[in-house]
Amino acid sequence: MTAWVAILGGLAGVDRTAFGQTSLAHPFVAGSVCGLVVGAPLEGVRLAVVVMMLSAATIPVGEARLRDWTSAAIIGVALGAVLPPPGNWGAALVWAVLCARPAGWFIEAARRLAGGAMDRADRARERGDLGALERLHGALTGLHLLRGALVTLLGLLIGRWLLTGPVVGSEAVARWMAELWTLAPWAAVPLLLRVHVLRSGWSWVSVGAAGLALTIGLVEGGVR
Amino acid sequence: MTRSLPPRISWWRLWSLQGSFNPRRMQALGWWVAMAGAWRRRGLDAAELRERLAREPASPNTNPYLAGLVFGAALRLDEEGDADRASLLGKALSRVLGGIGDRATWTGARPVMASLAVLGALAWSPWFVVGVAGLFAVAQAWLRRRCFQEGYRRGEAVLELLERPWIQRSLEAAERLAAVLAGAVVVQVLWVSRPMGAFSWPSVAVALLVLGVGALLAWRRAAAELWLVALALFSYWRSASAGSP
Repeated sequence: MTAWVAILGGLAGVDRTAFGQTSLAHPFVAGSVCGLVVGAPLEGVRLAVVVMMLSAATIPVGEARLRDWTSAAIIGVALGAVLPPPGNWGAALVWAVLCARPAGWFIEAARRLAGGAMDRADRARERGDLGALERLHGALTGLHLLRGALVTLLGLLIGRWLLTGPVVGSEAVARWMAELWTLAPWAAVPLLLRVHVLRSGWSWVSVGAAGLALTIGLVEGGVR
Repeated sequence: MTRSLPPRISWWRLWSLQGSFNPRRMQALGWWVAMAGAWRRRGLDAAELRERLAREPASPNTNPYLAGLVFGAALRLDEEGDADRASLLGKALSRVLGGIGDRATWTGARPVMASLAVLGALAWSPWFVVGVAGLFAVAQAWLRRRCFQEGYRRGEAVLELLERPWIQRSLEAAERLAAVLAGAVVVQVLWVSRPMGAFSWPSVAVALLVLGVGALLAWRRAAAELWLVALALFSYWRSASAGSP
């Protein structure tokens, strides 16, 4: 399972900006796919939704403090599947949020490395050596694949090592994490709301909210 | 005047435009690698390659989904032997496309895709996410190819395409659609996360309190870690209260 999660982390890592941008790197998609991979689809979707709402406020174009929500979502879902219940998913969510910023450091490091390689690119340009430019570009692109896999693996292994004891050993901690897991979606919803209210106003958000509330009411009423 | 037959370009070259992105040269290396395929097919000699590589890229940094427009237009001008015009056009297009593309991507297409995926996953099956993501992947692949073809066909005239009013109207419509779907996502998330079991006013009060604290943090633009600390403290208080005799 760990190998598959690392592969997913690598693919999502490279999809994030280096190659493709096909949406696999979207935190909700990455986390949900991870949930399918580790055999926890419903909990994976729930954790991924919370991470998505946390990441909604940031647009990763020229960010000052980069957070890697993609890796965070994958690490969280994978960790939730391996920690013992009942506090596993709350603990996994906590770890995912804490991993986002350190995971961003790896992206920054990869970019600095790429910046340092530009001298080699300039020498290849002077020679007119297209092959050297292509190999360098390929290597730097592949670096993101490696970065994504490594960050995911480290996050999962360190999280498991740190959190298994507290979650298993203490009923109070397990209860606390279970409560956190229950409340997290409610706490995260305003983060998503704020982004869209500021951009498009309350009216459009209200239309969607009212529409679905009415639908749920009709369906639930019809079922009863 | 437009041309009808764009050259064949390896798709991986455009898809990997940002592969070596860095703060120092941004997409420059990706740009040269994208052009390299076309230059090789034209059989340019070493001196011609060195002359082209000596120039800074026509487009140092732009939205990757729409980069094909710049690339196609610049390639067309390069084939016509006017590298200076290619460079000027590239710089102008980059700025415009960066603004349009980033807005369309981050406030339109991606939020819409994510919201649809969430709604489907929570209402039906997590596999819905795979379907929506797959559709998005196909759509963006088609968009990239189409942008390259249009850029090459139109050449300099591609700038006129970007000035058409329907583009701004489309961007606004996409943002509104994203807002509508976000409203629906909020309701659905709250619905599936509602306190289970018998209805009780204390449960409702707790849920509304959590919502309120979340709203306060959101509007103060608190960092995610602060959000986590607040949630953890509140959860601890709740779990400790429930556990005490």
